Amino acid sequence: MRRALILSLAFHVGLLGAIALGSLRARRIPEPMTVAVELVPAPETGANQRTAAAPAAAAPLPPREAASPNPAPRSEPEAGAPPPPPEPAPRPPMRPQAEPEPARAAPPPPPEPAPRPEPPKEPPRPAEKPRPNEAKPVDTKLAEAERKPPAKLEPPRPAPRVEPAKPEAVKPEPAKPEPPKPAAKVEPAKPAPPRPSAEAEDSFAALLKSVERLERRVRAEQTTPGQGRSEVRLPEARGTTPRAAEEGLSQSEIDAIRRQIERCWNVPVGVRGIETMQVRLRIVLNRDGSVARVGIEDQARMAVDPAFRVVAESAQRAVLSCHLTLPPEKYELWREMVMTFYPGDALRG
Amino acid sequence: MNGTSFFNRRHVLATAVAAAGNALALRCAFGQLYLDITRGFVEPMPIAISPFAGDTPQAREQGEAIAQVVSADLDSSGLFRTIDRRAYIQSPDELRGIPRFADWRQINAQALVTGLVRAHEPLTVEFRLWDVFGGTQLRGLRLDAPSASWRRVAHKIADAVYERLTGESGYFDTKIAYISESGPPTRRIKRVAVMDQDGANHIFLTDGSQLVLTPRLSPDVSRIAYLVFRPPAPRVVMRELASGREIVLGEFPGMSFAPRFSPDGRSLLVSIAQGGNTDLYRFDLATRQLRRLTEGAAIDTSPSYSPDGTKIVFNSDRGGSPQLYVMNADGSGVRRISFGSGRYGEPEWSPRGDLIAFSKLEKGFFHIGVMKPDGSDERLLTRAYQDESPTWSPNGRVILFCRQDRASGRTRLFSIDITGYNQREIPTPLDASDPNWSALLP
Amino acid sequence: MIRRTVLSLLSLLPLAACSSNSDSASGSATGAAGGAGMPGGTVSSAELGGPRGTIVPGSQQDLEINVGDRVFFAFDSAALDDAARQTLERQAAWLKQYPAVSVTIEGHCDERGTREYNLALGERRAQAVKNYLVALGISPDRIRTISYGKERPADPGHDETAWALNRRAVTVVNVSG
Repeated sequence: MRRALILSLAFHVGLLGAIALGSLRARRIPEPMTVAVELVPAPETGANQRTAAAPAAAAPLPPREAASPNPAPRSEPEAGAPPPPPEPAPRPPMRPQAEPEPARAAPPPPPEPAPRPEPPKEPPRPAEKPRPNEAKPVDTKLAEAERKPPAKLEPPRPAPRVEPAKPEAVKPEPAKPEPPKPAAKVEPAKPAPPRPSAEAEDSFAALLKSVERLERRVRAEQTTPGQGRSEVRLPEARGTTPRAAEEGLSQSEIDAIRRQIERCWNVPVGVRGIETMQVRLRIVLNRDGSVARVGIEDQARMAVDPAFRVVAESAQRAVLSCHLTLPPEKYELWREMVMTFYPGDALRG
Repeated sequence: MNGTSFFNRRHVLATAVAAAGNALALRCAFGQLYLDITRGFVEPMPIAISPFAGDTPQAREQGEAIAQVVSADLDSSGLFRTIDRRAYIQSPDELRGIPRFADWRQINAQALVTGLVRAHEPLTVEFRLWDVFGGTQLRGLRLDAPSASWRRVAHKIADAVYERLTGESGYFDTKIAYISESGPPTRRIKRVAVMDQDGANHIFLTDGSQLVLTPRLSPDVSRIAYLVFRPPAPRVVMRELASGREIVLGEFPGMSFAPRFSPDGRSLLVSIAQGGNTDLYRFDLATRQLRRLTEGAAIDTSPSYSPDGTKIVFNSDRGGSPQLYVMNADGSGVRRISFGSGRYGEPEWSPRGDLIAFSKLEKGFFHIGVMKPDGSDERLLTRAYQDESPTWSPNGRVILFCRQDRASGRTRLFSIDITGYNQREIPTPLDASDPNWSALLP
Repeated sequence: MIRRTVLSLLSLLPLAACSSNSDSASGSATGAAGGAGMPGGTVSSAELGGPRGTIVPGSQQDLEINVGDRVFFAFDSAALDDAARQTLERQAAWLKQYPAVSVTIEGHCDERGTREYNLALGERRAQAVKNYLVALGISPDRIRTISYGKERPADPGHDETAWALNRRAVTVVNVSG
């Protein structure tokens, strides 16, 4: 009898406990939403890349905003930050000597190549960092390039690249029935050279499609001997007669440069509007093929269009991460380059 | 099917346009070489995520855990690949200042995440995202939170990284509501459950004594509406998430089901079935007014608002079989948008507005697909015995859905990128259906 | 008095329902004990798992065994075919025989549709049955409807046979009322 009572008591306590626990758990659902998000300025923007900056000296934090116990997360931290935008933190003004770099994990790159004009070694003190124009690397870096009549004068891209007989365009798509695309979907606001309307597809449309298509495409490439499709395009390069060394680089030399860059360009997949983007980089190389300067041309768009910025940075990364092998005797011919990246083409493949 | 990668490494056509006629002249004059780059490769971006530093063992432990959550989040997107930390040369403490970028280039990290746990309780964490090849800081944030919310801190960091490197807002600091299932098929026990996007912090909101279906989280993630089979008729109920308190909506005539919050959270669309006819209604949560939006003898259900709240896409069999229709939010201007073969259902408007996801039964198989709001460009992303209930990540990049396996009868959640790649299972303690992905947490 | 017996028996019903999937074959089944005079074979009490040898008149079991408690539908349809109408005519007669009995019509669907559409479709099926019974002279006050969509399949299988058995409307005797 007593035992039964005890049992019953234990049971009920347990039950209550379970209920309490249950309700506690239920209560916990949205944890206290106290997540503040504030900007931390770069400990020291740029310049001094290799000093393992005295650890302790990491950037002083901005004053803990009003230390409100439940500060609303600032969703736009980059904007309202007190210190100057650390964002496009200036790259060291000059990288005369790019590390014989990565990618190919080749010979372990000498930790830091010799002549590295470091700006006056500067203790990590972000505070004194306004220097607005440094925040816009390209302005300064490309001064040289921009002094020229440049860009606009650039020759029209030869022949509207008509994507001659792209094989997969013709292939019947098995399995996945894709309703015919309403024909002319002209993407508004497409600046730049007129490109065949087929390319005006919606951003994702082209790269999405079906698994089958992609796989088939890869297979096709594998079975196409050599650069089969390049050949198809060669005629476009007509008008280019850079045969003589004293006049310019040979077509195969140019191709070689291109191919090297292509192998370094990791195209960001799925960026909204990437299909119609173009990114133009101005590049100055050192005699050993390393990058002395690189700048993204359309800085205005960089500032307002995060998707474009992502793509532009991927192109820039391709250039910076590539160690180009170039004919040294023709340095003057390749010292300065203007590369235009077409991610839409790259993804369409 | 599983684990198809986006990233079959592929190189693509290139045109080397050195330049034509006058270009040559230019080149001579200015010594500039013009190149068009029309090929590249597509791979998850290799990224290094260092354990966050800390001054105390506790802080270091926390920093370690945060880095792991950040890695898992980013890897799950299929757009990033965290480089094995055993390859890292610099230690977390060495990374309190400027990284030695050369060390990170050597392992081909394109981006680097470093961080510091400054205080444990409350938690103060700083993190920085670096462009390794550019040698610049791309993003820097400090986050404060009670240490119990450390996973949210990690998710917010992952969101910041994702946003900066993809140009889209992230989706890691989110919840998933769904129906947890157990028991035999003929007497299935169903419970409303809520968990973090990565499966952590899983809880059950109901006890399984009543049949519950189709949970939907409010836009501010403070409330949840769902269907419960409770006499006298199955009905939509709403609860506060924090307190668990039920918010009485009153008696709807007939059976009410398929709840959907409006984007402003002020009203709820419900379907009401009465006398063999199902129509859509808007229920104003403040005034409690019920307004009928569709009429006629057809079944009209599974509505979904466009993100701007001006339009509603819904499922109707008014044309003879279940198809998708779009109308204005007041019920006017109905027009059909699905014209492919097969039977369509459960349209869900993408949070970024550009696509509508749906499920479709065609020739014995279910698909999850997407189309533009005008019905064009239909694309099917999956194919299986039974795929249904698509729901969008808040950035409109990923679709979560439920798949039933024919042989085992098990139902589980899967996600897939709208490119059609990176399909993966979202693990749940029991079987799962009816997922609903929340907005980014406030 | 009858009601009380029904109640006590109903408490056993879930058991019966669970143990015998034979309920899907109930349309033609008839019990010797019921004496409702329907033609057909007999069903042993063992198979039913219910109370030995007795079927209480006016009970769910009575309806199920001697009348047929359910009708079936074609895919995505709420139309009543000949077989369904015959079953419902028997149900109407039975309901007239037991005027104190009220019922709930449960509409069900197979799993080859979306959850929400099927909830609506199940309601449409239940309503079709109700309408027919009312047309046969049963008071609408005695008939409630509910839709379970695809949530409560009678057959757990994933093939056409199972789907066909699951596309149904089941008449269920209300426990109280």
